[in-house]
Amino acid sequence: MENSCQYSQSPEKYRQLNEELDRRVRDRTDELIRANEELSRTNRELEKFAWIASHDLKEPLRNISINLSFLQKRYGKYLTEPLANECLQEAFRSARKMQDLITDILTYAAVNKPQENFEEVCIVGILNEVLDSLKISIKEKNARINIPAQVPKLKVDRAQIFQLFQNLISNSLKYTRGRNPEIQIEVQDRVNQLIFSIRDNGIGIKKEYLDKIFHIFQRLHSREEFEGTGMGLAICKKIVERHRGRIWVQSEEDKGSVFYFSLPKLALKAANR
Amino acid sequence: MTASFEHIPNRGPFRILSVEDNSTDARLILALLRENNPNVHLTHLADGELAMKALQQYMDPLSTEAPDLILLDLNLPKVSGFEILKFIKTEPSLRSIPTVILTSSNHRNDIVRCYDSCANSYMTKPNDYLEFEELMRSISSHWLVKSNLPTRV
Repeated sequence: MENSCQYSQSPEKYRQLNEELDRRVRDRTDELIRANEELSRTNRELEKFAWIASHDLKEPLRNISINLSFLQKRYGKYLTEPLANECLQEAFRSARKMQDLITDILTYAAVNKPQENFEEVCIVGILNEVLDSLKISIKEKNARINIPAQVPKLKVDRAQIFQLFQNLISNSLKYTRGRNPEIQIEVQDRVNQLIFSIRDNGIGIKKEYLDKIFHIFQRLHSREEFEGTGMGLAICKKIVERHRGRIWVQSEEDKGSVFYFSLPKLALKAANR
Repeated sequence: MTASFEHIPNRGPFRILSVEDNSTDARLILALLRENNPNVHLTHLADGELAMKALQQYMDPLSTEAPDLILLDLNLPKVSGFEILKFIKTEPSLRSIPTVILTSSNHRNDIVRCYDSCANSYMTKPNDYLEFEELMRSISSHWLVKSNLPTRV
């Protein structure tokens, strides 16, 4: 209020204040740009670190696994105490979990690698490949999965879209607690984008967790109940965002979940730069 | 067993040189090759420099130590597997020794580069123990049993 009185009193003062305001906006914008640059630099460094660390962990882990197998195969017969064998099995399980985790961290860190590999693909073809890759667990769980008969062509990173569908569908197969999974995959053709949905009849997600599930290492269940690294949906989010789309979920506990993601039809080139 | 071809069986003992800096792999190579063929004498060297020294000794025409088969890793301390391979394959007294590249790399460039330098075979080390066993079985059967070796004619 004080300010507005001053404006009316002195045009010169008004001009000065205006300039001052302009300058401040400019400064703040510069600060924001700098902070943003700093943030993406730190992000890139973090990704690089995660990649290098995971990559360097691969060899010692491989040695651990191979030595365990060698020990079991050659000298297992000498491990007559049940506890000795239990320890060996536990070591195997841990090595496998670590292997899964390393693979997922490497995948996560590699999503934004600058590669010109966007190509026009047939999504239905990718979906069929995904179902084929999951056929063992589809059969085991006696699952019914419907996929769309036709999807408009899109320019995408083929391997990443494969991984995206594979992660989402295998989640729907996994989180069931005994029910036979029924999974409905649909696509809506909008003006600028396609919106895909993966609807399941699984255990659903509690409201308070809905905004956490896309974070890295986020696990909602014990490993005894559901295996997993807690990286799957974080990888999905990163893949969708690299394609300049959005991913979200609607879910109610015990009533199943619907995962949605959008992929823009155009401007995918920009995402690749 | 009848063979429709005339095969001259290789007589052991077989001298195998393994150049490998991963001690787990070195131990496996030794144990599995011995298991497949008790007549194997394996020399294991853990870095490139030691391998180069040994190769220079084998060049001596009086040396009786020259190996029948070399298993060579690429990623080695001090002198790389590529350099060792090049040395073997450009040295007249060594170049006929079958040299099998056994490495964790499956990069296209590495494969091409090794065959360019006249590697006799390029194999990627498996991450799985049972596959490793299988690979050692096939190396042993291919080079020590089924192939006629230049050092044995």
